[in-house]
Amino acid sequence: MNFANTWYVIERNNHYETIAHEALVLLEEGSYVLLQNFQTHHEAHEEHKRLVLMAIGDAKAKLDHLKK
Amino acid sequence: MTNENIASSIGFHGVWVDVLVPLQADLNVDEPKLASHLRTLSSKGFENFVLFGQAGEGTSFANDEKLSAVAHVIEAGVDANNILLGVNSSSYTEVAQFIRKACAKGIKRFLVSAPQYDHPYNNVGLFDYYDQIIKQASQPNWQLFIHQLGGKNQAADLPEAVMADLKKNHPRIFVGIVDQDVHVNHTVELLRAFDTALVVASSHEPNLTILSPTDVCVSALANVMPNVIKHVIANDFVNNATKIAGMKVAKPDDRVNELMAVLGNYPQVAALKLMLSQHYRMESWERVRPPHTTLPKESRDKLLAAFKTFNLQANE
Repeated sequence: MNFANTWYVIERNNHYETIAHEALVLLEEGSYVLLQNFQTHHEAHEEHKRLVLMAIGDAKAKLDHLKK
Repeated sequence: MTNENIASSIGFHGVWVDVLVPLQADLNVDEPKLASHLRTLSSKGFENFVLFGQAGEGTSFANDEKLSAVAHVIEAGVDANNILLGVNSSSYTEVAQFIRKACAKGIKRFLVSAPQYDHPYNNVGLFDYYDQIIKQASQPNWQLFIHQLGGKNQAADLPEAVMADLKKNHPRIFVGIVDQDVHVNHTVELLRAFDTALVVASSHEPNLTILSPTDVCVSALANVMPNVIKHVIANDFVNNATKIAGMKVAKPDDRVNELMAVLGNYPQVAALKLMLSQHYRMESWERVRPPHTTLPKESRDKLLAAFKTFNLQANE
């Protein structure tokens, strides 16, 4: 499979990132968690957004729980 | 020629991921999500896939659904040569037609299970069933793998005598066996019987830890920890231990056995999909197709807690 010009969603330093294949190969092995590969930046970006929104929802739920 | 040499000569070696199939809310195949899963595994170095096998709930999908999904993943960049496509039917005409259509899309490897039939059948009938498939498929250069289900459902295992006759009559087409049986002796017997004639791939991971090193396997666990399975079949236990903070160092075979203990008696497909849903942070991955069912809430909660303790590592 050809990964040139494809995009990844990764988790690094407790943050999600959308990153090009060409940039990913330069990262140190073990410094990130590879979540998914996508053919287009748009697909990767949409997944990135979904994960961030989920994380916000989880944080809100935790705060609500603490307030109770 | 040994089993390893045969595996190399027919291009069937390494880890073949028995792919879990994601579903939409209407329980149709979520083709974009399936393609993304395969692309993600490929980007980790795992590019060989069994589609619609045991873990892929193959018996639950119609041939047209399978063909549509196959076309989609090929369009998304998966090499058709890297797909072993599950075929489940008791009609040899239907199987042959499906093989013809899939060959037209570039697929060359097919994993065909024995027919399900209420009445007892003998070796002659079973041989004729596969013989008719091969004749009616009438395709050059395709490969037949027999799926031995090991009593996991009502489909019978093919007797060795039938497989020997098939090999004798169709030496270029019938090239391998995927053994789903949980008993390692079953796989060992197949290896003894066909070591120099057919590739025999086990798909029960704890058996791989015993058979290791082995050249090829089909693995459902590879959906979630492909690198562990790669190290298991390579018998590369010492250099690839998993170090988890605050816990003991676990070798790849230990990790397989730990995960199998976690999965326990839960339905494996639903349990692995739950695990994958955690990895992708996507609840929709939990969907299974009837007659499979999703896990009841209590079981789900227990498994989620067990997965946390198992603590799957990014490099696994």
